[in-house]
Amino acid sequence: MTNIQRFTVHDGPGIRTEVFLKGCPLNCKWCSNPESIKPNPEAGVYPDRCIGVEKCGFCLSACPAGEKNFLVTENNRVMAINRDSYTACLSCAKACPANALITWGKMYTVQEIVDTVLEDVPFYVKSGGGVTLSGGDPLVQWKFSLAILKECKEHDIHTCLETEQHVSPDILNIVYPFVDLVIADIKHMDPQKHREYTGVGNELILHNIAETAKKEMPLVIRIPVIPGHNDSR
Amino acid sequence: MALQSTMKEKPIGITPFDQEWPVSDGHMGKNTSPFPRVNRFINRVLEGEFTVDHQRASLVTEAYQKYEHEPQVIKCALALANVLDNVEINITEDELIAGEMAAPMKAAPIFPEHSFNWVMDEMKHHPWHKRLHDRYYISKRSAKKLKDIESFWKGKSIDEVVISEMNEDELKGTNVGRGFYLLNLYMYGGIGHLQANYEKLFTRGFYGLKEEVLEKLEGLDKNEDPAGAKEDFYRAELITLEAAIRYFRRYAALAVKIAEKEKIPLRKQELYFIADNCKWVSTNPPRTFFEALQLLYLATTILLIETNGHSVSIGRFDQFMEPFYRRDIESGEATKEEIQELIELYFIKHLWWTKLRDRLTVIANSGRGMGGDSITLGGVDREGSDATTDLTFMCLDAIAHTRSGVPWVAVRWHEQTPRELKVKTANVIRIGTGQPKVFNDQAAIPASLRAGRTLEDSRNYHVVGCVEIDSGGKEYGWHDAAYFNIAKILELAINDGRCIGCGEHCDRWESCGEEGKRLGPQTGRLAEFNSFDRVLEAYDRQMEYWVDLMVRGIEIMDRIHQRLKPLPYLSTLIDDCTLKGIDVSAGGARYNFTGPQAVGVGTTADGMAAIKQLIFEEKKVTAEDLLNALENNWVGDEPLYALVNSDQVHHYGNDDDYADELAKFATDTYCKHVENRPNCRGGKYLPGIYSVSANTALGLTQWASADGRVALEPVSDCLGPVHTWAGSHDTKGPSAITKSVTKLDHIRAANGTLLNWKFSPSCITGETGRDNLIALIDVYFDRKGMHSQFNIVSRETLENAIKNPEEYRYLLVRVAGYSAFFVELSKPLQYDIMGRTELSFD
Repeated sequence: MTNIQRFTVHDGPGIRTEVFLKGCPLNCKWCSNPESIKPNPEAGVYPDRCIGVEKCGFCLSACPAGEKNFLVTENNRVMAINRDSYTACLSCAKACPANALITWGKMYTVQEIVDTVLEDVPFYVKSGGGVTLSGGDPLVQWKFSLAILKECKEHDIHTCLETEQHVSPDILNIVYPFVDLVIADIKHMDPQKHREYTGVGNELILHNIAETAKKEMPLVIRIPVIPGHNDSR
Repeated sequence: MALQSTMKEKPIGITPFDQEWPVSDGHMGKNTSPFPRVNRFINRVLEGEFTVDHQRASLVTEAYQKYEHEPQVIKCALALANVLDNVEINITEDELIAGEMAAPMKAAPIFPEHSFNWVMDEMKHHPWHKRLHDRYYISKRSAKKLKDIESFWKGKSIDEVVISEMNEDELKGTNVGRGFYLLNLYMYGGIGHLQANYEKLFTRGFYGLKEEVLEKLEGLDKNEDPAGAKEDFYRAELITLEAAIRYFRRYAALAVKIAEKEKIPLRKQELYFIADNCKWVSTNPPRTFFEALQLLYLATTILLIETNGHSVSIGRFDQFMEPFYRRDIESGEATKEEIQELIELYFIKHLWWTKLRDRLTVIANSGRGMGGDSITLGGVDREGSDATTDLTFMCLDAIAHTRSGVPWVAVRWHEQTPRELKVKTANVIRIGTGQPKVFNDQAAIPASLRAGRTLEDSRNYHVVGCVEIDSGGKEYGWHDAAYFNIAKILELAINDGRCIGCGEHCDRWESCGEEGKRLGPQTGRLAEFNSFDRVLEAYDRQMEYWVDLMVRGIEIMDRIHQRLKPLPYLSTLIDDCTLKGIDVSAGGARYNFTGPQAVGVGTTADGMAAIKQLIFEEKKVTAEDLLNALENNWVGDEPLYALVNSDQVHHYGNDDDYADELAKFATDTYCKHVENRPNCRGGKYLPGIYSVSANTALGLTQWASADGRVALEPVSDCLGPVHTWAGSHDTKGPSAITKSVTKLDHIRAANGTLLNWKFSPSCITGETGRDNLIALIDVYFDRKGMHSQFNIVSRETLENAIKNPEEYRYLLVRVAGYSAFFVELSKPLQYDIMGRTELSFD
């Protein structure tokens, strides 16, 4: 999981808890959560939080690669990670006291996530909210998502699934009985353009969306308007 | 008649209940009222400068000299009478409700009997017109008149007597000493923080009050009053009531005089109206809404002339004004629109009152208004049913229309509050003037019962000043007795009773540190503690020691106020002073409390969490390292500074029991040592947990702290999570804050609690945004949170306002408990408000 965000109000009705799961079948050029594309944990950098390697430097000492570490420093600050040679051991992120280096993606059990979701039940009740699974795409880890959704329905919590729909229709059929609302993007109607900007064609996505609609599943379609990609006919 | 039936079904204002105004548009002076007169009135008030006026001071001094040998209570009554009889009075254009605070509009009267040294010192050495904010002007004549009385007050003002009667121990922690608990409000000023019994005044009128006193005086048994104290008290009450009657009549006469010269027929008629109103209510109970409003305003103003205590509150306006409203509408005496206009003009009249505060106080308590003149709306009635009236809605509309920040409006919500009222409340909050604040009957009524008030009185509570629950007309609550920095208690607890950062820079160095002394008792040093429990034990012991001293100091102040500043006029308006024959200052009221507040909850909790986690559990840091880092103000220990400010350490405000339980311990320990102590008026102490803006002042006297605060930075505000210059410690959003904050016992903190919210405008726009805001308040209240208030302003706007103050002259923001013009706030306060976590739900 990359993050669990309480009190979100934009993805589904009311006040919600949003679970961002890591891993996505698409690779959109404009991705708003690029840290959630790869399925495995990785280190992230916030240069403006770095207090300076001269005063601190804990990350450099922690790096097992020693002198040849993967951290790019500039003006005494850690600015980036050299991803080409980076091994994702996360030692640097664990050592950083300032959260300038952090770990994107942590392992959670279903129960840990559900426990956090349950913390805000009074807010869902008052506002007509619930839980939203998002990502990445929560269906990359569909069995895990299914388990969360089932648990939430056990507690009578409204569930929303935000998915790219680039997934086997069988999986949707398994998951949908535990979903109250689906949010999906249509990023382009032209398969070629779609492939060019997201790395995959749109055939499966459009098929799944059409099937979803036929099932009378409540569905919200969103269109990210991207200059140069789909902002004109 | 038709109106009455709709009213019974559903109260409503002059606008639809779901009328929306632009979000985050909390500017005054943009002609936002539908009534042209109101807009003109606002603009006229905004135009003038604030001034200092000598008249009250001169007239009081004259009376004190003339009646030197009279008993104190008589002397005080005659001093008030001398002011009311002789001060210059005015009625300005567009006014319909007359009255001034013994000084022209926006002019501050001076109260030398409370304190005068600082007034003289600032007038001579720190001129008020050169202040960066809270600026005042004074004429040469007024300045000379004030100088003339300087020698008379030497050694006589309450502040001088208080300081001379407190011993070294009692002074060392106060604003006069190390400054980690503040007694300054009642040391230098009056008590205030009360509501007069307007229902009684409206039923009997001044003449009826006089009769009551006369009856008691005539029936007085001389054997029971051998020293004649009660007789003096009753005579004093009579002197003030007669003076009040004459004061009203002076306004009536003035109105006639102006009317005679007035050319415009409509205005001429209005002036005669004012004259008739003033004359009638000078002795009689009011008959109409207009008369009741005139009586309410001027009777309250006399309270402010008698003493300069702020937070003299109005109480449940929508309840006690409702019979007049209903009568007027039913009889056709007035239309709803006319009454709405009167309410708005009345709101603006609160801007007439101003209080000159000393230059240190204004760093923390910026704003030139009288302060704390609160109105309470909604809630349940004495029987427990919903009390919403048309006036509830009309007062909320008046906020939206005037955007003046005054009076300070509190809306009470309870389990049966109509949806319409919640929507109206949320829509007015979203304008962003910081008004209104919202109170929770589900927490406030149990807290009031716990304090010892009856069920009826508890249900009928109103909000005094910023935060405090009060039984209007029956209570002298000393609600603002002290602000006590519990974060400093943690500091003394980990450093053997010594200040961290002890050194020559401290005013007390020569008498304390240099002599090898310590400020508090020896309770051990963090490096000597073998478990975290020892830290908590030391905190408890330090707390007991310092609360003892604080209470001793407050009791000294209380006795001196009783001795030097009886309040016979106020006594006529608070039950049961006349009945008992005891002045309100000496315990005459039915309820007598003393309320000192704990400040720095978040700072203390996060400091404790850092110590517990890093030193005793993870052993990442040694106690010696931490103490050194604090002594060095984190210089050279930047990684540790970053770590304690990061989410790698447990922090209060994230629905994390680890830190939240420490916050509960920190506040429970304070409450335990404060609650139920007797005070010298026959009442008891009630703890509160809030800072208003004292967190900036208290921060200025404290060195670095373990939560990741650098030296002199504000401590955390009210119940809010920590935000240091390194960043905010709350990262989990509003629902987590709600849960953390409501883990504390608000009902135990019976003097009041407060949580400040700051939202970015974008996250609460539209109907969805409105409903989410309502849901948030609902959940906070279901969990027994007592009180919330809101800033709806973006960081960007505040940054622009700091850069271009001219463009944002009338931008209102919520400070804490009150709203003020942002550009007029002191810099520390501006940055503190800006630093509060702006919640946006993306």
